Amino acid sequence: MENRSRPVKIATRALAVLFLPFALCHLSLDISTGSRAAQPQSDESQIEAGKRIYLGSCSMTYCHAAGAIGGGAPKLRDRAFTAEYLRHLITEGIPGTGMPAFKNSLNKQQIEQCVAYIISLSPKQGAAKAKSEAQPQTQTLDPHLSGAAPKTDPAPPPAPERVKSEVAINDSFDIRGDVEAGRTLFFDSAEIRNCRVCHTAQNQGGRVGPDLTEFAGKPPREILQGIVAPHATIEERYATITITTRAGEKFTGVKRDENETTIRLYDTSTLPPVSRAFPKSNVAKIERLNTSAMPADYASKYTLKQLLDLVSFLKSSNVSLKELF
Amino acid sequence: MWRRIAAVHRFRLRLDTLLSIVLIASALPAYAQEPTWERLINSDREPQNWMSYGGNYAAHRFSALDQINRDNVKQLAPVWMFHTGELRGGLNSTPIVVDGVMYLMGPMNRVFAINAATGEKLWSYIYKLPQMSIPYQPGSRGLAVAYGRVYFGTLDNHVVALDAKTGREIWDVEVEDVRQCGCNITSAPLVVKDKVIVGGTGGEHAHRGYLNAYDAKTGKHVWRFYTIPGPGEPGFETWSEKMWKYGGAPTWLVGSYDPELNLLYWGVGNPSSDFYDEFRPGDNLYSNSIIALDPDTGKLKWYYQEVPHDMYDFDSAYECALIDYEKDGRKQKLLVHANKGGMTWVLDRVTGKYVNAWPHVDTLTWLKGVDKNGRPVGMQPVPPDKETFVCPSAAGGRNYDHSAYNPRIGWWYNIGWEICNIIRPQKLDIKEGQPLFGGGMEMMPPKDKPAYGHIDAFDPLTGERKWRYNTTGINVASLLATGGGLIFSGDAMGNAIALDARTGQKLWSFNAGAGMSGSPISYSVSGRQYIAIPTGMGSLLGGLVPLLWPESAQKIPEAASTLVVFALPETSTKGAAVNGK
Repeated sequence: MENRSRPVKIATRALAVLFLPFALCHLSLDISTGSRAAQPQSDESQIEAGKRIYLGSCSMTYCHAAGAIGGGAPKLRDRAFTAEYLRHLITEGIPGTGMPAFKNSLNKQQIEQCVAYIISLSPKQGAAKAKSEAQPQTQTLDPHLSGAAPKTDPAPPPAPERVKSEVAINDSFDIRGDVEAGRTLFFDSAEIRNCRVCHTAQNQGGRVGPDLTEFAGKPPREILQGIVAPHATIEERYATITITTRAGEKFTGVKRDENETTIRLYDTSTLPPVSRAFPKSNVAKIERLNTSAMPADYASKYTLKQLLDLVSFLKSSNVSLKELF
Repeated sequence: MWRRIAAVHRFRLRLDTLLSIVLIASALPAYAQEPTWERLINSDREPQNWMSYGGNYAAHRFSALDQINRDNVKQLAPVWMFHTGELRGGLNSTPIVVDGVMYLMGPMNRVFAINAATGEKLWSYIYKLPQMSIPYQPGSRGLAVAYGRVYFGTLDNHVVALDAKTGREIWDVEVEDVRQCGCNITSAPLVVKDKVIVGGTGGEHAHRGYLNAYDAKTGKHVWRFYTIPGPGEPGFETWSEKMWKYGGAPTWLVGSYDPELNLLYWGVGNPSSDFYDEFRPGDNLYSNSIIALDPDTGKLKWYYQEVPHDMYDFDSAYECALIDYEKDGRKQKLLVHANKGGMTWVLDRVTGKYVNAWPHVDTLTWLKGVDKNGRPVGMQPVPPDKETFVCPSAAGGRNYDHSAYNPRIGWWYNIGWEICNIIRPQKLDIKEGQPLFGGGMEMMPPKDKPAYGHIDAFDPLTGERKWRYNTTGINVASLLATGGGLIFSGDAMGNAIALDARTGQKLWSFNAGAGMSGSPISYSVSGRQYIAIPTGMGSLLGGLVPLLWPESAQKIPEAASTLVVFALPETSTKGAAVNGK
């Protein structure tokens, strides 16, 4: 990692954040290396049956979406899943997330059909998967969480880099962002912590963070990165600072302005941000931090479609999902 | 909580921290934490002060001071004046007085601290408003003072905290972009325990009304109560899919609080679009309702809707007078509320149940009566394609000229305007934050008589009228009741008046030279009682005078924004006791 160029690092971070919820889902899973699951049949009828189950049980926009492109939950196509891994996940669910245990609603055959369908959505991984079925394999484990015996040589996590580099979205499943939906999201008055409390777009909004009107000229991918990995690039004007008062209180945020006697800070520890004025005589220390004042949880807060909508709004054009990768 | 934190820290003193604390303490005013919550909710024990918008948390606008009374009020004379320096917006506010210091909100968010005995300016804070079109009006109705801080809302929709001693800004938080919501803050906040609770305008814009609470110390947003329920919430079914996000229902005045019940009461304004109602079939909850909230969480405890599916712009935004009524050995915890439509509703403030409703104006066309639950019956239709003559007018049977209650006499004093209007609905496109009045209205007198106004004394439960005083034109200033048996107010033609609280007889008047639309208060410093009366019309309502009384048009006073403070001559107050001081 250390030798990678900065852009690659940033992209990796962006996607890592983007898929963070998914990565976290795996922490408590113990995929037994020794169990030999039944080989999922890969014939067309099995896949077709799985597709029907998928459409009925998994394809809601809030979940994995039609075509398995991801909605509120991770995308499932073009991934490096093993059949065993999928089987376990579908059967047991992921505690603490929205992923239910389907063992109560699907029988084993139906689960196998689902597995077959999802595997079929990752044609590039197909050969590898066939191999992997033949060899015992361990996936990401966390013995502290799962209570399982520690495993050695864990396989790489669901590898955001791999997703990034090997992603190949089928044209028939491509989606486009919606400028108007992005505008609504940006200014959503029903959401107290919407984007505009800090940012201006199209000459309307807050001044705490950068004016995003200028972002229209940036590549979609860079905009996405700014949303989901805000710590990657920080404009000096909007650098995070911490003010320590003589009484020992600390406040963190973005400097608003200052004059001879007073410094004002947008305290971003709470949203909407609160502007605080400090008499300079009461300030003991001001430190610059190497982090962004912007929350880093938008990858989990918004669905992929919503992120695409936001990027589209900032670009003023309906950006294709493919343009993000 | 702040004290607890301080207490914990006291046990951790090291020499260096001790030194810094000493240094900081020396820089803080001795009364930095005043007034405390205990003082605020027990403000009736401190008649020398006027510590909250309504005089107390029950919105009584009553001062127990009695040095100025029916016998000597004729001697009342101005002792100092304070000019805010800004004519746009006049002076609509309620001054606050704490321990000899007056805090005054002027128009365009100009804030002042004034020596309450001399009128000397102690500090000023001129809020920097952006270059923008200000929705509603450039005036402002007040501020709140608590914990050594001054809290106020701004015309560009921020909430600000200042150091009460110095006027130094402490924090400032934006509620919502004024250009996006078409809403702002023209009234005073209400401090309840550790929170600053702030209502906003927006009833004539495509906006979803709300009430917000901020942490008084940090400015952190704590809760928001939407006055229009969202999908899945009870009451959502009373709106159309199209309008719930844009149906107005603002909280543009100031609520009340009952510490025994821990209930916050707030009046909610009209639905938008005001007159064109086809967008919004249903009762449109909680527009035109009284809502009772848990102030700690912002959760709804009960509501009572006075005007379901309003078509006349009959806000329920006005003050909620909390009156403990006792008659024939029976005690009732009442909430008495004047609706803009000229009806006063009386509720059980514990449960929100209807108790009574009675008219406080003479001319009503919009309803035939109320049913056993207080719901209006025979409501006058306002067809979208016709003109409709409705009384009272959309300006109201009264407006934000608040009532007063004298607990010693047990009477509630209220203002009435006998003005009607022709409503002409108009369909408008709905765009968030844009005006959505939904038509126009033409003011006019009632059909069979000229327009007129009055001040009345009522039994607050039954509505039995005790007396009436006919005002010159309409009275746009609030009422003040005092322990001296007086009612103070002022009219649009510049006359400050004092009435006998038991008879309504005018005992004193003073030509202040400027129309009045603010709220008089009383306080005392060093044993001398003062009456402070804001002058300078500013309000949009001032425009009613030339419309309805054209013969007075030439006599309408010029613009002003001046607080005039009255007292008895010093010679007559020396040695005279002031009740409670």
